[in-house]
Amino acid sequence: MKRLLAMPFAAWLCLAPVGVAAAQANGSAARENELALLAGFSRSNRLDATASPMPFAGLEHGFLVKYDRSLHDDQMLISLASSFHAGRFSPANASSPAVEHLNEGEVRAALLRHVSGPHGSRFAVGVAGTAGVSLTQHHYADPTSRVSDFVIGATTLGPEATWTAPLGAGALKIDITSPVVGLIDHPYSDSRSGSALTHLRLAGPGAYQRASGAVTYMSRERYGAGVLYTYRYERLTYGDVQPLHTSSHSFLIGVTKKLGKDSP
Amino acid sequence: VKHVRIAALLVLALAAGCQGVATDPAGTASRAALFDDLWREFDLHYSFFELKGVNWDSLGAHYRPRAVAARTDAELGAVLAQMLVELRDVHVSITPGDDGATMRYRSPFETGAIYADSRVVFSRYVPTSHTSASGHVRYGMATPTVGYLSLPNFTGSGWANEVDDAIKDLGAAESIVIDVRGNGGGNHALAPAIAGRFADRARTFGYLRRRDGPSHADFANYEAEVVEPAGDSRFNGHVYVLADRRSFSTAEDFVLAMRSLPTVTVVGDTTAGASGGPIVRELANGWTYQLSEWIEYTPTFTTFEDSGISPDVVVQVKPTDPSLGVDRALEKALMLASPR
Repeated sequence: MKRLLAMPFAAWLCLAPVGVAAAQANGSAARENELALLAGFSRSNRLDATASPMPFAGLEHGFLVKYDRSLHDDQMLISLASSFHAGRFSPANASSPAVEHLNEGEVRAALLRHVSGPHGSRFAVGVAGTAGVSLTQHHYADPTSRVSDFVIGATTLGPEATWTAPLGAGALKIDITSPVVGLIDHPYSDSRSGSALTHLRLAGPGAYQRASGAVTYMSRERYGAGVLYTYRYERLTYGDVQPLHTSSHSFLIGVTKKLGKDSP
Repeated sequence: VKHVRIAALLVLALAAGCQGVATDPAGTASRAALFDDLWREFDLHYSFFELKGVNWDSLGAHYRPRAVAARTDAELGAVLAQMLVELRDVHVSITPGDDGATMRYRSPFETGAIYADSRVVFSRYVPTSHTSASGHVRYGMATPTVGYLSLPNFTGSGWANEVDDAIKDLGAAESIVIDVRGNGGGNHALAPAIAGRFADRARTFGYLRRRDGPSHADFANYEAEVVEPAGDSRFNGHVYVLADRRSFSTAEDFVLAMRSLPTVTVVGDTTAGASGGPIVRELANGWTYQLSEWIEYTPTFTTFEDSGISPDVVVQVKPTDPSLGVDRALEKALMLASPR
């Protein structure tokens, strides 16, 4: 599930600095508001022991909407994003007809501070918070074709760093993020009507390890819009009684549109 | 063109990266790992360790070497099934592989003598009967004022409304006998849904507690089970529910729900005592198994696992009754239902 989260997440991260980088590439230091829309797919592996000890692998698709706003003469950047992903997973190793359907949504907010770098590049560091929910429908391959639903929720907070530099006519951005604390709801069993079992837990880096990194390229802007290409890799391990492991490779493509400059 | 190139490069990079994560090169899990998976899953989720006095550690220590020594998948499946049979729980089973048969514990009540036979009922006591569209309900008039309604199982879903049709057709009945003898259970939700056709108001008929932690004593709070008026053909007359030792699981839930209603008398024998709510799980090799995840309680917070639910009116029956064409429990219910 996290991998999905990671994907939009990644895309978003990429976008944020890309806008700034592009601005630099154009020789402008204006404060800009940007809206970006991206869609793409990811190849993911997941093992949620609450549902099954089998690792599952599959292809997901999803979209991301992001809004960036520069603050304080472009020294700060606030970024808001919302994403949704869905996918179908099959056992990665066993020849079982079991199937998992995953739906995942996340909202994200980040606040970054820009620092000048060499050769027109810029670093940015800050903090990012996410809130996401993942719904997994697990189809067991038993004689009764039992279907069980599993819900996972996570709210996280952690540092984020980006590096943006002009590249060709566009801009390249690399971002890395890793939450250090999370409020995780990983129920002990499947969700059923009449049962409201929640297992909220405040988890630190010892139990909740999530990290992602992305490379984004934004083409030269035309008529105030640019094209974005993002590749992201993300891993998540949640050390619960019934652990959760996910990893994903994601590719997103989309457009970003400037909504105007506050002032030069 | 440049954009297409960039996109193509990123797709290639993604495809290359996928190869490293798409599959696990470790291959098929070992027998020891499969055994450990199964043992641990039961350890984490099975509800009756304490109630049944099962020492799961000891069972694991006993059966693990046998599982590791198994030479074939069939042998491994048999060893795992032997361990699970020790739980003496009809809701526990394992299905090793696509072609493997489901293996589970069989209660003595399943394999013992049969004391009630529907053929006797419909040939002698209810000679004219109707069967609902899905075949789940068979009914007719046993006397001019007493209707008879048989529910041979609670499998499937969405057919509770067929009981409405039966109640309409039994319009002349002042009382109804509902027969769940030999009913092996099925869909838990059907029990209160059908009982609701005879309910005057909402009543709590039992409680559930689900495992929600790694300790064998970790359970969530009590969840009330409620029967409330349902359907469009509610029956307000007296109801006699026939139950016996072959009434399992959801059939017992039905007896429990009906017993909470003031217009219901349970007649016959004690039920089987199989109260665990089964969930399905799977092993790393794709085999599936089933285990009980909850404990069910009566409204007075007593369990009926293994002990069953006793009737209001006990009827002594004999194994020779079916062959003699006699149904003493039904006769007793008809006697109680007949106007004096």
